Amino acid sequence: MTLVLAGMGISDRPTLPREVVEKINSYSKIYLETYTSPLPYSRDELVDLLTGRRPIPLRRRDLEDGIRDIIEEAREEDILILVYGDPLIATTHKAILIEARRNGVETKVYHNASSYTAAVGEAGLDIYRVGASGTLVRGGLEMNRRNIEILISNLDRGLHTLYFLEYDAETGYMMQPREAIDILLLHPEAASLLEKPEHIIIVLTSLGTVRQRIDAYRHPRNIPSYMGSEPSIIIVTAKPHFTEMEYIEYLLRD
Amino acid sequence: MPRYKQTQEILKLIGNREQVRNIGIIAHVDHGKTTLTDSLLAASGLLSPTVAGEARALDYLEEEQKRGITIKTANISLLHDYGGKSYVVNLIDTPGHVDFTGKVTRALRAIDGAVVVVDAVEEIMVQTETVTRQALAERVKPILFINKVDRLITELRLGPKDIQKKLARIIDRFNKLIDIFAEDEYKSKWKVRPDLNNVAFGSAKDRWGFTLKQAMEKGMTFNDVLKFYEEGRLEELKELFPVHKAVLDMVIEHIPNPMEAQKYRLPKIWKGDLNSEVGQAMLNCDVDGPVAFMVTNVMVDERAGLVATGRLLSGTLKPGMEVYLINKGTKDRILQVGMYMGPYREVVDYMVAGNIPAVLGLDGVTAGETVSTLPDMVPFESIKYISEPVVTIAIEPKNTRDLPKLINALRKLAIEDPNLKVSINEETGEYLISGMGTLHLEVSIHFLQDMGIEVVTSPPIVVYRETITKKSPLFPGKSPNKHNKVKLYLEKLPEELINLISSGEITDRTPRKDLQKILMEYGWSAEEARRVWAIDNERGNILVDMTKGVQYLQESKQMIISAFFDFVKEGALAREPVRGIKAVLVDAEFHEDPAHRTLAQVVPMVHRALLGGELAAEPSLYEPIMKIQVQVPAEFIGAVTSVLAGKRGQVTNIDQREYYAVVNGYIPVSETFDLAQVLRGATQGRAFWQTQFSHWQLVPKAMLKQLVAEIRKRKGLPENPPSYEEFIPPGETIEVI
Repeated sequence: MTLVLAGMGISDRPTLPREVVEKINSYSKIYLETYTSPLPYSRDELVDLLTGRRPIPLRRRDLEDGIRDIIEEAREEDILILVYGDPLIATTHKAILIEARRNGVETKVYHNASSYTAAVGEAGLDIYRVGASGTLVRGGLEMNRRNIEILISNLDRGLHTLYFLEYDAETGYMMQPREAIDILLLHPEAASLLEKPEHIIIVLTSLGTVRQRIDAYRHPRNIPSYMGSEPSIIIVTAKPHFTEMEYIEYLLRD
Repeated sequence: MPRYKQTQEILKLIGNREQVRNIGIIAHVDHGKTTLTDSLLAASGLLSPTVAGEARALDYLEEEQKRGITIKTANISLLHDYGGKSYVVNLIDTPGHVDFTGKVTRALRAIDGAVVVVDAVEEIMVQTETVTRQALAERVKPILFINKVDRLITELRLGPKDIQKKLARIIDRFNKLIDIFAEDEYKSKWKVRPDLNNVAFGSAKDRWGFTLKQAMEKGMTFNDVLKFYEEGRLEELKELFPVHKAVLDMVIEHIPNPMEAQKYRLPKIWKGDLNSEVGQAMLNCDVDGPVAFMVTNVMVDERAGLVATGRLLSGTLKPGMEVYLINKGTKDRILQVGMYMGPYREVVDYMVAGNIPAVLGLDGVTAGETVSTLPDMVPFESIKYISEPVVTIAIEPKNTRDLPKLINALRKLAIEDPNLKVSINEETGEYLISGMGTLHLEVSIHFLQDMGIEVVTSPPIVVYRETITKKSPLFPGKSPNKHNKVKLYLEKLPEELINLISSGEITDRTPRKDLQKILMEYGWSAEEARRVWAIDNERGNILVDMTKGVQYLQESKQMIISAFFDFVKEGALAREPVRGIKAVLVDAEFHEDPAHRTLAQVVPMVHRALLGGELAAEPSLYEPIMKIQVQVPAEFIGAVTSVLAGKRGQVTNIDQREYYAVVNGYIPVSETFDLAQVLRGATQGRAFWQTQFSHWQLVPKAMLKQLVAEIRKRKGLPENPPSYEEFIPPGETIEVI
């Protein structure tokens, strides 16, 4: 019948639209996408919200190689796939929707808070001034060529750059802010741009949860190694608009 | 001559390269190479003369003695006096048996001249031809020793006139070989003539031999030789004309010394700049120049580790020296330098250019490696093999506790014998050994058994190659996350080009403009030739990138090449290696964010498109075909041709010699496993034969489907191969081009 994608937001406790929770038993299967972001709550907590239903975890290959099977299930029944944040932003699950439509299966999307918009907001920045984004990954300059290019071209156009940091669900690897900055610093032009005090580096960790931390730094060398392993986003600002700056003042640590 | 003096004298002499010769002895199996080598060893005092014939000093593996053939490569230095001066002759023992010619080619690169030994009764045979041809290709100068003249006398009972006629015919045929296979400027210079004294006749077994000059000096004729035999005066004959003098005099006179040889051989074996420092040093055999050491053989010594032997073309090797292994890309330190004396290595303080040293202490060194004191030296050409592994067996230890021992032994085998391929079947956990023929594999098994490992083996399996018979359509690929696309097609490569690739003539290292020149001769456009991304020398395939303006392509290049190699190792039809395919990337589109175009996304995308492309191009199989030569008494010719006909074989010609006939032909490897029984049965045990890999041939159409099903069943796969439609990503289509 319908393939439903529902975002669970970014807070400490999972949230879902009332409609979804009330109809929870109409879904013959409930899946949980586990590979784009770590969840800030336990499975049990989620089961609680789902009034006792236990979701089936989906790894990357289940939703990539195995998508046909899930779509076939949704042909005759209602299938629910739960996703951290908002289903269609950074996680690009549109591929799932395309596949469903191609196969004549109906779809429905429930939106929710996204770490992308939360990050821009919590950093005090204007959404209108955010340029191209990227994901910083391991592999030095070789693998992050585009990430450097967008930094340079965004700054050239006076736009901010938002970076997600690599998360590998299979190994539990989560890139930390210091490592991410060091990658950008490998490139001489990027490094000199980052050194400029008017380009502020804002580090946001565990957005939406009680452990949320937002710190702004004028100089990359002042960014410490963060303790533990929290999901993080870093934003490199172009010269902030004065209103943005007024907000950032409260976040500066150097 | 006392043993120990030999080592010192030799070491002293090798400083003077004019008095050094680097040679090998090459011959068809059982033509007497080993016996001759023993006599030469005996002459230089390393073995007492009486023991020489029986001990077969170079064959210290029991295995070889049982089978009477030499397998391992070893080297010895000999001392010979000629014209009042002493000379050091470095003698590389080269395997002559058909299954191992890769090793022969390697040994040939280290030597400047070769004594070609031909059995006077059997005359020039398949291996004589093949190995001489290889020698000429490496600009190694051949001289001839016609052996087993005693058999002409005692067995065939020929008179002197007939003996001379037979010998003349052999010389004639040998010169024909030179005519066909030598380069133009060497054709006339290198032909042999008795009056030039680059041919000798004799009997290694009875330890006598002479060149025409030596015979004339003592007023000897073949009539006299007959008399000596009739009268049983072999000792006298041996005293008058020791075989070592006949052969070594010829070597000194006709084989150039290393300084002369390197001047004209270098351009053949090294493609670097001859005007560079190391180029000049090698041309001049300069002992003070940078080290240029061409490793041609690596053996595993249980105590000492890897022993690398080869030709030192320039510089001086000393223990403690820091050197670079060019192909491997590492730096290492020489632990020990050795000089060969029979099966023994003598530790020495140094070895100078122009010689054949042994080096210990180089981690991971392989045969074919270039060792130098210059980190960026252009390496020597990759070894040109003309044989490929065509038979596989699966092997397991009888007792599972022997598994680590087996793994260790297999590793050792694989290092020492580059023609043996060892791999693991991931699904079944079996170890697979692939070699050039059943004999090659049998010898390897015995080697394992000698190490105390009992093994269980499967029946031999033929190795096939997959290929396509027409151009594929433009085939699409999509990454699992659906965010990346690729379009490619597959095309057949012409046979000659496949051979150029398999032989190592063109590799990833070939300078672009040389590569372009060669490919354009095969009708490639300059553009295509410039855009070659990878050359698969092992199996004969090429990957070309013809995309235009694709963003992020460079970052995915290595992943695409990796997918290409995954494909050529196991094709879609039957998971056999792929041969003769040109894969062309036509278009691609990548997601900007690197996390969306990781290895796990790009590799499967390209791999599946290649598999689909292969299936959409009317794939087929190549089977390996052996060249076969059977010697039988004339009355069995019919029986032999029947056997061959019944085995999908072909007879190409029948050569009637005086006492037997030689049937030449081809036979598919798949038909050779019971050949021994069948041939012996049909010829009452009177047939002798040799086989050698010849070429790959498309399997007959009528057999293809059945054969694919058998191979797939054996591997635990569903009998029918997948259809290409299964590989088209949803929403994409193929385009016929």
